[in-house]
Amino acid sequence: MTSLFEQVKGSIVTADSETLETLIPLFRAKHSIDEMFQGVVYPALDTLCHRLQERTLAIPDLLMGLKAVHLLLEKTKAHGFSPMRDRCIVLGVIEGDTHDMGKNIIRDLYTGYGYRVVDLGKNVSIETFTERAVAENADVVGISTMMSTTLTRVKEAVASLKRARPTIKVMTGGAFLNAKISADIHADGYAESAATLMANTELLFS
Amino acid sequence: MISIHDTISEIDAQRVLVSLGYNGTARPDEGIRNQVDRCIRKASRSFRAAFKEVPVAGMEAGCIATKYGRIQSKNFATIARGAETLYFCLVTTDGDEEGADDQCSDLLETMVRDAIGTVLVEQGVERLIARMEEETGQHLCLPFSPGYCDFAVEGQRLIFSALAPRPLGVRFDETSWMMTPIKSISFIVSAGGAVMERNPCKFCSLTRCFMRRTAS
Repeated sequence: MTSLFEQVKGSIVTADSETLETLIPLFRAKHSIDEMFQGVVYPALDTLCHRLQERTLAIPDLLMGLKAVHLLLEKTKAHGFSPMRDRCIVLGVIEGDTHDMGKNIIRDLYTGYGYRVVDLGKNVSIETFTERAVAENADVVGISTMMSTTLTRVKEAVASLKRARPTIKVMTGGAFLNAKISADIHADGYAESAATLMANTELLFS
Repeated sequence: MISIHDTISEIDAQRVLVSLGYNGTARPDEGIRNQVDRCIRKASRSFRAAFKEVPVAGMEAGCIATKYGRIQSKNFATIARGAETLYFCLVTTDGDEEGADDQCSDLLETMVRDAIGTVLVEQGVERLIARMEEETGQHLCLPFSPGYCDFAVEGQRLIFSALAPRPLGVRFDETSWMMTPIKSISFIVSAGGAVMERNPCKFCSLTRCFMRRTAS
């Protein structure tokens, strides 16, 4: 018989909110919030990301799963209780670029995994990135751009953040970027896609 | 500059799904399909376009001269060989999809609407080219946009200088060259009495380019 953990996880992966709603009270009667994150939320998101990487799912399926996670957190009033919550991620799209779809997906994925996320939006200046990252005591700053023409600004933002706080970790992401370009501009990491985001993020802390 | 306001007959749902990432082994479930269909039903099908005929002033290796400046693109020069004239063009949407992320808290719906905007403007380009071919009786090549293939993104300035200041209300960022409204496509097409080569990717060495129109 499928365990309650598997049932809840399955309803997230398939974005079956109707089934999820019926399972939530049963699950909460038996299990703690911590068990919910460790046994359901993280494994469900890991499964979605894995299927995204092997291309059996697409981004809309991940977003449906994230909506189910959001529903679960709402119903169990578990927002803010994630074990990951002590880590802060500041995200934004660099100045000159307003393509923010990818950044928004990353924001929701980090939030689903329970990180504290500060979303600076799009067309964000280097000064704003630096000031907010310091003010929020960010562990990681994620800088996104879809364009080659804004690369110089991304490079300047990385330098500015490192000057402000040398220990801060900076990740880059976006269609034009890759691991080599990211390394060339002295970023600490590169997130190729939502599918590999968590692995890339964890590398920063290893 | 000639401006038109036109409508496409139907937004291609399959192309929207491909734009959303369903282009290989991933298959959209019924919920996603329904959401795409629902958003398409609500979406505008109209677009605006502007174009200007620009005579070819001269051709040399990797370059076409016009009165507005030189088009530095070996691939486009190859495609346009034999062309009598060029058209500098711009297509944009009516802005319904613009700022969708600011109006909609549902990221999935925002993404679907964004994909619909992308497909609408692409279909608008196809509609414009078909209409220009019909009305001029000339053969046109596929659209060639700044930033693609070997046509540097700085070519944006050339197109805009030929059309008008802020044609159709579209502007571009002087540093990133990004256009606003974001669902806008600027491009050049060559025209002539003979059938134009329609696939610039044949001449391009970027065999792994995700925009490639033929197998490498």
